Amino acid sequence: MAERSFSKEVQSLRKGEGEVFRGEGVLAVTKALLQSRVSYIGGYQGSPISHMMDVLNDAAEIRRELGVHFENAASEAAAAAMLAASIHYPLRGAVTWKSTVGTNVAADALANVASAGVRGGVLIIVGEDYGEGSSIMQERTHAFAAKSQIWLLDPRPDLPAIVDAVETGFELSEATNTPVMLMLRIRTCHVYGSFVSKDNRPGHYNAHHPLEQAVFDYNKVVLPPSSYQQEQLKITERWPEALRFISENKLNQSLPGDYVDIGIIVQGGIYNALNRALETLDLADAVGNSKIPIYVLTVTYPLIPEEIRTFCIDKKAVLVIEEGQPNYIEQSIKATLHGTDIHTRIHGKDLLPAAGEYKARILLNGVTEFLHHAAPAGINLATMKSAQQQVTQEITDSQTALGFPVPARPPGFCVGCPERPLFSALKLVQRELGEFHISGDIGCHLFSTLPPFNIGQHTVGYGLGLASSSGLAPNFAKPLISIMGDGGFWHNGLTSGVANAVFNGDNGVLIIIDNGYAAATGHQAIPSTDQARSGRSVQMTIEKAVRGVGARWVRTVPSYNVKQMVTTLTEAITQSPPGLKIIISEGECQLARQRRVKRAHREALDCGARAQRVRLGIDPDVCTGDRACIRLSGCPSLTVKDNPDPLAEGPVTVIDDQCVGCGNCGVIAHQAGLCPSFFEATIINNPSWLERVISHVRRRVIGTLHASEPRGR
Amino acid sequence: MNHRNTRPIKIVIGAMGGEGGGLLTQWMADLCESQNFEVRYTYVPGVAQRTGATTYYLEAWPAFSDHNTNQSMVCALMPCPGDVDLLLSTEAVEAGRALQAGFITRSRTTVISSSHRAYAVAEKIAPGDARIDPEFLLKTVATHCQRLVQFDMAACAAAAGSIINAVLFGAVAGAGVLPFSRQAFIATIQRSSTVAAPNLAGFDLGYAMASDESKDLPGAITAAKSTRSKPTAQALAAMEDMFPPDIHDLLRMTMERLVDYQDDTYAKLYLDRLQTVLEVDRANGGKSRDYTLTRETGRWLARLMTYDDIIRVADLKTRRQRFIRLREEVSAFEHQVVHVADYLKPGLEEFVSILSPKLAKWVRSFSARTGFGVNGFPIKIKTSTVSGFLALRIIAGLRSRRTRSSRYLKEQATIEDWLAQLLGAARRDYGLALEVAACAGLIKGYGQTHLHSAGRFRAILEKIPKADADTLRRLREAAQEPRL
Ligand code: SF4
Repeated sequence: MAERSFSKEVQSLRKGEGEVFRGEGVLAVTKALLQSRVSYIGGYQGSPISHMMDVLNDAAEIRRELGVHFENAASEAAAAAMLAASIHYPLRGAVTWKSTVGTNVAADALANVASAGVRGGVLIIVGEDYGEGSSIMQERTHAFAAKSQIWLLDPRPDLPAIVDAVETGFELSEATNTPVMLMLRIRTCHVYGSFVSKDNRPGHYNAHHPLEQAVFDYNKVVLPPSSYQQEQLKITERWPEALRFISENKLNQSLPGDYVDIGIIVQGGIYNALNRALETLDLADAVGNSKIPIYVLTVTYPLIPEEIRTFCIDKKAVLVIEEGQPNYIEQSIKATLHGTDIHTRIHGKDLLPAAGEYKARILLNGVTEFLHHAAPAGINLATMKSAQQQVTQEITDSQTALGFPVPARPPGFCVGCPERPLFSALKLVQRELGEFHISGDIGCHLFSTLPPFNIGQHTVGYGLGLASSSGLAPNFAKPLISIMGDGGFWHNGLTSGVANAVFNGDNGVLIIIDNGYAAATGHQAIPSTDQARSGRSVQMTIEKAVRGVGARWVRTVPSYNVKQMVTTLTEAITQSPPGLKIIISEGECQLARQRRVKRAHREALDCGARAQRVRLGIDPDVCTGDRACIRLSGCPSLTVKDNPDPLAEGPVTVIDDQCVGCGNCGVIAHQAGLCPSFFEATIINNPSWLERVISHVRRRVIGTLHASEPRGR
Repeated sequence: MNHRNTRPIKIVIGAMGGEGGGLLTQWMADLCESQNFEVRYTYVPGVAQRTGATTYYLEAWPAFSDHNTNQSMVCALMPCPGDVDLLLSTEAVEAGRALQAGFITRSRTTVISSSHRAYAVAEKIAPGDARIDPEFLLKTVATHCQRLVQFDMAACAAAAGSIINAVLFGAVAGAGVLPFSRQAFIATIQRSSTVAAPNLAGFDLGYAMASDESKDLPGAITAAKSTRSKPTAQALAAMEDMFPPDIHDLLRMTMERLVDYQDDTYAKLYLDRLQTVLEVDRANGGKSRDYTLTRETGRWLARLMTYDDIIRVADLKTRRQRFIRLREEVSAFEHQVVHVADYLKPGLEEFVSILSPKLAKWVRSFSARTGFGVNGFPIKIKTSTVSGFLALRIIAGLRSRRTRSSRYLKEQATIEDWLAQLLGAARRDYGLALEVAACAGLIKGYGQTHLHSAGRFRAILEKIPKADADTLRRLREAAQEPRL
């Protein structure tokens, strides 16, 4: 079961015609899919659409009733390949992943499906991981849409608009034989709101009504001469058809305004933030009545030249608000107007930052700039400016008041995380053998690059930790150490990493972190997830898999055993037989484990049964205040408090209530020979009578001994 | 109602991952909806809501839109600086973060924040004390917001057995910043959870604190008062005779420490040593300098003389106070059985050093020949069992023989050497002498850590005769960098 259960929320997926649905964006998208006659859905987890995968998993019953097949694909490539179902057959399907990283992985299949064209409607839902909270390189999905000719939807971040985009997206796809991409930004995926539901509708064909007839049509195969013909079709048929469909169905909106000599063109996804900026300037109200005409692009690819010309024709200046770079839309609009007799000045990245997320304040500044440049008739710029200045001054005052930046609080390893001991071990090994080049991968384990570990020199992609060492290793004196998570391993690391290294006879050490789940994205099951926990009928082990592709030197080490890990690592680094040496660092994700353990503990307490918990503590008078323990272990539960010794300066370490008693900090104190201040306390609830008697006797004896303490200690 | 004149209420919640900021947001949403407001909220969870700082944003608007018109509120999805009405923060630095983001402004924002601190990694690992003072932080916030409500919500939550969000939710109700009744808040908590009782208790506390019904924080768990061995009245009187009044407080503390560590004679030795420093201090204008040299030397000398050895550790680990404190620290109740195991890793040297010099020499050469005990003895000793306790108690009992051990002799030699350097320096340059005093801070820790740091200390001592205050300070600071 995943980290977050949506079992309650999925009930709202059953809402029928006219009922009001309330929930988060991704849940609304799921409902919209069920209303749209889809036959299959697939995807690969990753913020911000992880919850969509969880919702679909938890909605198994509803899916079954509607005959919707859902696949937790092994990678985005596998998910995208599912779309082949819609090439020949009238099956509607949807896939989802995190973009642009997922789209990179899926690009091969996407390009092929887009070339062949689709008969059943196809919707690709991408969670655009851009701006604040993003965990990937900052790029745009727009380029993928343009290069493969896939229509790109970027609806307003309101539930009715999103649901509408899903539904019309399928129609657009079928009308133009072209896949459609629906782009949802991070905050949009999580926005809570409401819309009016429709009934769920099953696909025309599905598991309950399977297709009977196989179709063969060479024109759909991406090989010459079909591939040439397909390119022609894109231009001669699909494109014009798309323009017609989009304008006839008014997918983009042209909103009127009082100041008709200027206008703003904005991506749908940015519209809400723009409205807030206009509201601040007193140019719009809370429900979106704007004094400036706005053309909202729900479809950002392709643009509709006719609509753009109509919007611009009587305006002296127009501002294009387009997030990210390059500014494809702005360029395209300029090209559209070029050579016509429309001489509207087009502003965009000249007044707004070329790169980075368009937050509300940035838009506010940009729009203010624009108004000064455009000087529309009827706006009193001077009063607007002075009103703005006052607020701006207040904001600056606040921002500079402290005089120093507050410390960052980046996400990091959780309390009791099984990955932390591995990195402590690596730190200890490096203390003995010097610094190594360590190739990172994608996953929670990448937190190792932050303090206090600072381990991992680079990361170039999911599952690519080992592959990314193969160019450097032969040119480096010391062996390279590569890290890979179990998620990345099954995504592609087994082939692109392990098989590749064995095949090419590469040397080096690979550490595969087996924590039992795709943990960073919320504990989705992966092939090696314990069967009892994944609820599936199979469990594939990492060790068998790597041996299966020819790896010989394979050791599995429990991650909390720092001593064994240090020895094994040292052995792997220093031992002579060349080739790939694999260490599987095994330890279940503590978040997942604690959910189980805590529930069991509570249940035991409720029925009065024996239940014990373990946690560690530190004797403040023994602690030296050196805090090497924090630097080596970094468990968030290790924190600081005032030193009880008035003669000492600097705080001492203390273990707070979050401790789950994994014992790692104590083990590290042992392994690294730190101070003897750590102790382990086992607290037993509802002890047996024997335990009670023994404890009583012990306390009595120790109490008597205490009584004989010199001068009342 | 006229749409154009109605602003949504804009609320930002600054929380730390894993704290359940999402739950608080849901409560706020449910509350507003139950009072006929339309609600939008969103958040940026980052990497699956692990430990980082997380911001939630909510807008609420009196509901007069319905789904048949296209006109409903347009939520900005992210707070706009200068535009936030209510800022909730579960920790003091998070309020500071919001201030720096511009989400707190004088003309608009009410801030409700817990005043407690959860330290960031940077604060924890920096050498010395890098903790940010929450009082300063919140004072700054106070001068830049419309109104600040702050108190230690973590302590309230602990007292009520609730989550911190319940206290914060109560504070929002108590502060009266939203146009909703107390009952409406309570109903929200009741709707959301089957285990509402503790959260309602937390809510009540938060409400009371914010509405000025009560200004006393629930009694924080006070540490058990220590009953350490005390110096005799006579010894104290002698000290007061010898030293200027300015430093009596300090010396009372240090003497207590020495008596607790060893005995009255040892405390006497301490005072004798310090007296030589006082004399030189006086001779070099110490009076006009508030006897800084005597004071600083007194502080460091006490620490050097109470060096950490296994006798000391065993002593501290077997004290009655420790057993009481420990149960409190792990929040154990009387009816629960608690087992305690201590992680100790004495090195061979630590055992050897408490032996007499002769015996110590023999063991060392044995170890050198056979490799016995070179990696230390990592043990997990069960201190709550009679045998475990006794084992440690026996080691603690070696205290009476400490002054005959080889370690003792070595430490005293180091101290004498340091003092001699210090006195010599004081005659040349008062500032240099202060630097020499501070060098004592280089000696740290147990086992290997101690050996290394003592080595660095001795290396610096050798350089003193030729150094000036500045050079010495630089040397000392360089030697202070942590190795791990
Ligand atoms: S035992 Fe130590 S490392 Fe493990 S959770 Fe507790 S404080 Fe963290």
